[in-house]
Amino acid sequence: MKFSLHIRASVLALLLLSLFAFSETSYGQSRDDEVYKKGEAIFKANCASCHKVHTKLVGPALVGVSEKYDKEWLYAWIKNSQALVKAGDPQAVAIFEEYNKSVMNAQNLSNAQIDEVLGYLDIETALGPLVAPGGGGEGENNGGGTSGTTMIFLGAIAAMLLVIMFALSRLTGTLNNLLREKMGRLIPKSIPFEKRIFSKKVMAALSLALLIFVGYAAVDSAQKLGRQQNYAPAQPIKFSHELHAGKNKIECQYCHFGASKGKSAVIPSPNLCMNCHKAVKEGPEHGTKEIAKIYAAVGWDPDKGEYIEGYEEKPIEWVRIHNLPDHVYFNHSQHVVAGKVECQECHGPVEEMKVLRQHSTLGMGWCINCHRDTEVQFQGNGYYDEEHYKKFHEGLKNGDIKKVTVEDIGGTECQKCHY
Amino acid sequence: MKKNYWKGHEELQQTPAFQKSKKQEFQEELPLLHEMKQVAADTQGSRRDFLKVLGFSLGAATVAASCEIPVKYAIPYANKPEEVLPGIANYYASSFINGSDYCSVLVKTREGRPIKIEGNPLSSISQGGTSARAQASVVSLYDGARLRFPKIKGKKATWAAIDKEVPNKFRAAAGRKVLLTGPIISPTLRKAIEEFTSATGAEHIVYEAVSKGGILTANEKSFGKRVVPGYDFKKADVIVSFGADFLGTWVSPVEFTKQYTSRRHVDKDHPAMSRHWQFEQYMSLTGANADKRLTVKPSQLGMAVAALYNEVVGGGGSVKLDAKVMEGIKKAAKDLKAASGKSIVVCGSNDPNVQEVVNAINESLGNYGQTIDLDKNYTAFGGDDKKVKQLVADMNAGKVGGLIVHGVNPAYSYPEKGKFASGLKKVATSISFNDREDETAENITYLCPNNHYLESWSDAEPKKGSFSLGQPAISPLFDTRQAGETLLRWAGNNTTYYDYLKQNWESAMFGQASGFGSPQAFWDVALHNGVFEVGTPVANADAAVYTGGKARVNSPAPRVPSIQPQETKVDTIVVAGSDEQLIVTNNSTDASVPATRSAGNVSAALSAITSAKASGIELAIYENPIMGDGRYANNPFLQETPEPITKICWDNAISVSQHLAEEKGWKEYDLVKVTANGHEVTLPVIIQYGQAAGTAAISVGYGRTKAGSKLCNVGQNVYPFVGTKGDAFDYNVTSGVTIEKVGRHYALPRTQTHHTVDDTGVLGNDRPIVREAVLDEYKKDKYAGNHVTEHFKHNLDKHFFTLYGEDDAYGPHADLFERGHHWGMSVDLTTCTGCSACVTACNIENNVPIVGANEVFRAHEMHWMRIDRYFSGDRDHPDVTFMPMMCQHCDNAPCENVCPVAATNHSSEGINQMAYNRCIGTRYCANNCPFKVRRFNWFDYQGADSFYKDTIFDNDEWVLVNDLSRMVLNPDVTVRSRGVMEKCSFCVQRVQEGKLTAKREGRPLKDGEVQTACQTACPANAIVFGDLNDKDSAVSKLFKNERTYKLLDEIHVLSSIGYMTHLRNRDADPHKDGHGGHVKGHKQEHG
Repeated sequence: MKFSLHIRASVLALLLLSLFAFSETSYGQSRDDEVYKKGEAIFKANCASCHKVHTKLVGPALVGVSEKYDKEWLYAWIKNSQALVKAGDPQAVAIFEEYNKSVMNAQNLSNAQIDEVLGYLDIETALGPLVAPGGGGEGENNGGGTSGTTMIFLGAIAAMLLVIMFALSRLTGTLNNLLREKMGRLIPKSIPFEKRIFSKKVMAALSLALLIFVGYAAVDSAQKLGRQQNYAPAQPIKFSHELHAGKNKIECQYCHFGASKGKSAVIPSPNLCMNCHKAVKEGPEHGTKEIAKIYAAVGWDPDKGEYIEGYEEKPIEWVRIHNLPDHVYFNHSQHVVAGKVECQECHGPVEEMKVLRQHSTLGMGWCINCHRDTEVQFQGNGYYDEEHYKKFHEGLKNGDIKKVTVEDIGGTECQKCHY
Repeated sequence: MKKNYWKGHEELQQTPAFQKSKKQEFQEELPLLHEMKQVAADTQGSRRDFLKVLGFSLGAATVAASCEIPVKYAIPYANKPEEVLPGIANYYASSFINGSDYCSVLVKTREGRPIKIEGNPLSSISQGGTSARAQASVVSLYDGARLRFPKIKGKKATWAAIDKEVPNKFRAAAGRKVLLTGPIISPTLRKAIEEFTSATGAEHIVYEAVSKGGILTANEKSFGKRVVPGYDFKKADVIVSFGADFLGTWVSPVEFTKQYTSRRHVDKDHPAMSRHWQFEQYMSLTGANADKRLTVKPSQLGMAVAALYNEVVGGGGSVKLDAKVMEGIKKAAKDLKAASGKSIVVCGSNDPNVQEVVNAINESLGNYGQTIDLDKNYTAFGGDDKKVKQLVADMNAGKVGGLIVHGVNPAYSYPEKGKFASGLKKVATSISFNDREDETAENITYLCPNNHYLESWSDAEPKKGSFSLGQPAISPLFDTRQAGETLLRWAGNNTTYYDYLKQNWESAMFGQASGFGSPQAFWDVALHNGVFEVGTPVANADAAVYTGGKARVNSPAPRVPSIQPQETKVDTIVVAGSDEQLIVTNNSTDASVPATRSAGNVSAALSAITSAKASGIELAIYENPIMGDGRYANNPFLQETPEPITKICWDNAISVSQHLAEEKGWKEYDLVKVTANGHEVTLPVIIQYGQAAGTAAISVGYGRTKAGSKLCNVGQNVYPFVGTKGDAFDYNVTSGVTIEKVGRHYALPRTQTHHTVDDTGVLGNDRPIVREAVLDEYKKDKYAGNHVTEHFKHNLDKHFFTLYGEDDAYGPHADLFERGHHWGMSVDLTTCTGCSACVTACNIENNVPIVGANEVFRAHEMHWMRIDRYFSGDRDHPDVTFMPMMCQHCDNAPCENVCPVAATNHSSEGINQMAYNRCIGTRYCANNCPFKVRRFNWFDYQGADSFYKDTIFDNDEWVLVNDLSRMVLNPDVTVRSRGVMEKCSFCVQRVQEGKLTAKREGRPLKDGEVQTACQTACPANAIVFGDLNDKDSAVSKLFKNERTYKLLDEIHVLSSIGYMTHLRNRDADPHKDGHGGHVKGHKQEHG
């Protein structure tokens, strides 16, 4: 009897612990609110070129701005900051000085619109920075997303179950006592809570839980060791894939021409950039600043419109994002040409990335899963001829097999990638 | 009676040590124990120390693990050259030239770095074959011992300073002014030298360390032409060689191997091969391949030639020879006479008299104009021993005021010990073009280092009318300058060497070609092809891809061994995209017109030969096929390639016959002091089967003192033993040789019985590892020597003896490999000459680490491929068989079942895979491999485990690699770290590349499209790789050949390598051989 009580206590403790593990905070506000969406639209249209919510851009980060400043002051500042500065408003002058006297443009917004923006900022402040889409481990790649809402839902269920369990445990305890009373047995003295908590059994259970937790964390982080998912380093040139591949719809392989030819997809040399940037001298975001770096690399004089003679070219040192260990052989052309895989399947929505980041884990499990599921472009490729792949051709004809996967033709064997 | 096979003296003696090592995969109990003991002895650690170290390591590991991943950069070209695409190799046709070593090659470059040499199939000389030296030449590009800038009196100088100072000083030098070079194979360099000598008044003297001067002198005497004539072994039905190692070192070994082996591909439709007699002093590579080989003492070599003269021509006076040799000579003469005009007699002697007699024999046989061509001669030879000797005498007399040394190292290799160095000190203006501070450079004022050939523009005319171009594959790594350009500059000509070369080709070679619209078109095609043959069809110029001065050649064209020995048709060259071929005509040479001769009287030569005297032990000094004359000493890849006959790495030794050793009481590896010609060296003794009785032989090329790395200064220099006979250097010491035991032993890094395949078998049943037959038997019986295979073919189910007993479940898993490819390889033991080009090629292709002499001694060599050299039959006149051994890729592999982590397993394409990153180093697989082809990384041989260079995490423990030498690594192959197993992968990177190309192009993979590194390197076409699922592939056909057998087929490992029986073209009758009791070429019975 005593024993079962202790078990219950331990289970309860464990469950409590697991509840902490799902420590997704839930609030009344969400990014789906009307206010948020309206405010976000205004923010993106008017403020986003200089401000970010959680990080500093040209202007300060706007997180917690409505708590920091008086609303009326904010109206005035946003509508015409320079007027405030000239008027000698101490807050305004302080900001102006802090940001090297760079002027915040006067915004043509109504108070209602500003309210909406502030509403948006409040929600953002409350929710904290958004984890980049696709983040959170391998979740997205495996199909089952673990977005905020599902986590909240799961947390709620866990809490409910906990309450039910607690109630049931009390219920059985009371019933047991009643039974004992009825049978005339002695009711054991209830052990004080502190003693229960520090009892050997609870301690053992807690240690076990700790061990499991630490073990899991160790294995999990060891697996991630050397992996760089979501790695999005700053690059020497603020090149935007969103602009080039997204808005301007330049074909990926125009620049990454190696992808169809061999192992390396190739980071284009600046002389390839010059095909367009001889004419395109100014960008929408950074003006001439970033494009000038290409000119500096190849020695182009944009004023005269010609290459500088005898110029010592300076290669651009891009930070490499996708790194595979040395013992892995990967060939782009295999996937792009022979496998007809879209770039986005591994690299994610590059056309939406202002700063390029590593979309996939590039772990071996990720490779293998894809090789297991992906259908080989079997029909129509003369390589898979009748003589060598008779069985598959017959199987496909008879309907015995529906598709030939990469695994079927040996695509999960060691020496297909490791040699 | 069974023919006895053995690999070395220890095996024949069945020493306990040998028997133990044969039964074990690893020769030592635990090689690291030795090191551990040393460490334990050096340190007196307590438990507290242990805990301290443990704590520190743990802390360090934690710190290291929590470090951020280092930022890596991807830096594209600022302005990308059109032909360079990262990750894709470019091949440039070029010419490997080093002294008289020549090979037309394709240089594989990755991201602008030369990483591998392939043969150029368009060349009529090397015909796509390579040598170990050519393969390893890419390594010497990244040789850290190369001079990095010019020097004046040991101090760094600029080329401007050199050009200002040197030419004036040289011109003004008092006395003789000499340009001393090695053989000049390049016509353009010859022109530049002429320009230089006429401008400065210098003389040009050619010096060869291992001289061919005797042939030149003899031909001058016989025919009035100072040339080494062109030989065609392809046309020869009978070959008789007197000590000429034409497959290993003599004149043009790659070309000769191609020609020679083209007559030795035998199948049931063409059961014919040439017959090769060899009479020699020591066991040479060529002798090892001979159908019939007899030994003669060095002093008797000339007499043997004279005896043959008596038999073939007649009237040469009496010759005293060993009865056995005499009998052989008579038989050889009979064969020769039956094949008049279709035979060759060659001799390796540097004695003009002997060569003169050889000329007379060939002339009498009508071989000139047929197999020997005086007009299509080799241009690379021209060593003038007489002039060189005079020069050295003048230097010592102070008569030489200026000396330029280019491509030779006489301070090391000149026979008269110390004389060149002492003379050099008296030369006021001395200049060296050599690429390093070698022994000669020690006493030289101006060091003007030459480029490596992969950094130079060059051309070559190995044979008259066969031209070859060499283009750089990389910019000079260091501040060096091409010797040709330096000479031009000093002659007052300011054109670049590239322009000079191009102009020369446009003026001199363009005229010999026809069908080209302009010199530029001719130049483009010649550069693209790498070769230009006068009088051979050349592809239309329009068909060649113009790539702006730099030629780009696709992967070498697939080669299938010619199985038509009689075919002598000239190969035509077809460049893709063109059906049109143009014949290039030339009036100057016509092979059918015999050369003018005045050979006639050789009686003076004969009497000089037969009067030769000898006493005591005779010593032969020779060049081995790997190390050459010593110029390759600082190439660790060559040092570690076992010498094909002695199987010694990193050293030389004195080879003696078994009888001599027994008589004198020497044991193998006893150190002896060898004294002759006033020079003495101390060397270990090895018992060499096939060494002439009462003689010894030592290889030159070792004992360098300033080759570069200290580790490469190995062995002893035996050039001072070389004497003079008349005006020629004499490489045989026939009197005054004393050999005394020193009384110590020497640990010789020798691989001959490392990784011996245990042939004891089950129930004492000897396993026929080498299977051989005599050609005549083969004609009657297609399964001659291979009845075991026949037996298995008909009794497939009865003989499955596996590790798991006789179980059908372990029967042939043929169905597993039905889809896709099933890779297999055929190795022909008849054509394999053992030259070891494949071994070197494999090492470079697959980033196989070089481990050094001490490690080789402990059988730690990492070679994925080895060549087992078996002796057999008569101990005094043994037969030799070379058996290339690599992973057999067993479809029922014993290694795979025992791996606890499945790091080695089988692919659906029949490849025995090795996943390095999965291997935990239990070494069970190696223990279970019956072929002993698995290699374990006992140490971090290549620095793969180093985290970051020059930090505390830089744990490089090996001395043979550095950042420069790592540049040769193949980026497609993993560099293995310490503690993992590795082995032959069937060049899986090439397989994958070939498959991918076919997939991308949406077509089936063609046979021959995928070639392994050993296959492309092979000058004998002995290795064929391909898809067994392709019924028409060359390898499928060869697998059906009755000669093909699988090694240890009775243990049913189902290997994917098919060996073809070794056929010898000799008399089948054992009694006529005169080797009592030893049955030659008998059938191997299966017990």
